[in-house]
Amino acid sequence: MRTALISLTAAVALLAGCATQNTVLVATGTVIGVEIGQNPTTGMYNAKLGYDRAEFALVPTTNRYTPDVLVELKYNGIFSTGPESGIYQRLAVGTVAVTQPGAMAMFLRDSSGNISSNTVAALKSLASVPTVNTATTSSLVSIAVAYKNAPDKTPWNDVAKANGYQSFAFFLIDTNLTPEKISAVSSGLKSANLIQ
Amino acid sequence: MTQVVKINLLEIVDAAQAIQDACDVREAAGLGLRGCFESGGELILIFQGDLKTGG
Repeated sequence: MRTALISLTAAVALLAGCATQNTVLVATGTVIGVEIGQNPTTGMYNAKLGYDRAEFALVPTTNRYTPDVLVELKYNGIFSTGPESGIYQRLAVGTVAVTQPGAMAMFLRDSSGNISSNTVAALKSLASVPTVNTATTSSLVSIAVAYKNAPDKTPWNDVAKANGYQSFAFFLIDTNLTPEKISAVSSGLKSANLIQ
Repeated sequence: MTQVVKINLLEIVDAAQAIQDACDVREAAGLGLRGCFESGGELILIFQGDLKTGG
């Protein structure tokens, strides 16, 4: 029986990043635990959620197998009877599970367990999202860094608005950017002495 | 806000650099990388955050 005992806080932990050759070390200051096991006969995984006083745990592995586990726990006043109490858990186990789109969708929920309407709209439109031109994005990096470090965003927004954008941030995240658009905005930024 | 970005893995030479550039540009705009996965030869990056529009 391959068993892993994991203690963690309300955060995502990708255990593969903490692996040594034969064990996985998970160290946090929490008392919530997840026990993950794999039936060697059927290959099926099972998991138990409970409490443990351990502050850290060594997760044994065999045959140099490092468990692929993606876990998030949210702990809210577990001993309270109010509506806010309880444990929120997201768990993906196995190489396929931690990389497949379904797991990604699961972790897109916010801390209340809801997926915002904006997120739903983004996922629904996934098929129609254009692929970005990476060369175009690369040419934007220096401008983006300059904008990020600028103490006053107002002149940057003015240049963006002059080129049809709601703000400079909307210009930066425009997935339909063309070299011509970037050139036009760059010219405006140079005229305003915002970039060289 | 949430923004989904697709990168065609077949069209790029340096995937790590492409991802880094996409993250740098969106970080400046106020969006952080929430997660990513590969689907059909495309890398799907999901960014979330509040756009920086003020000083």
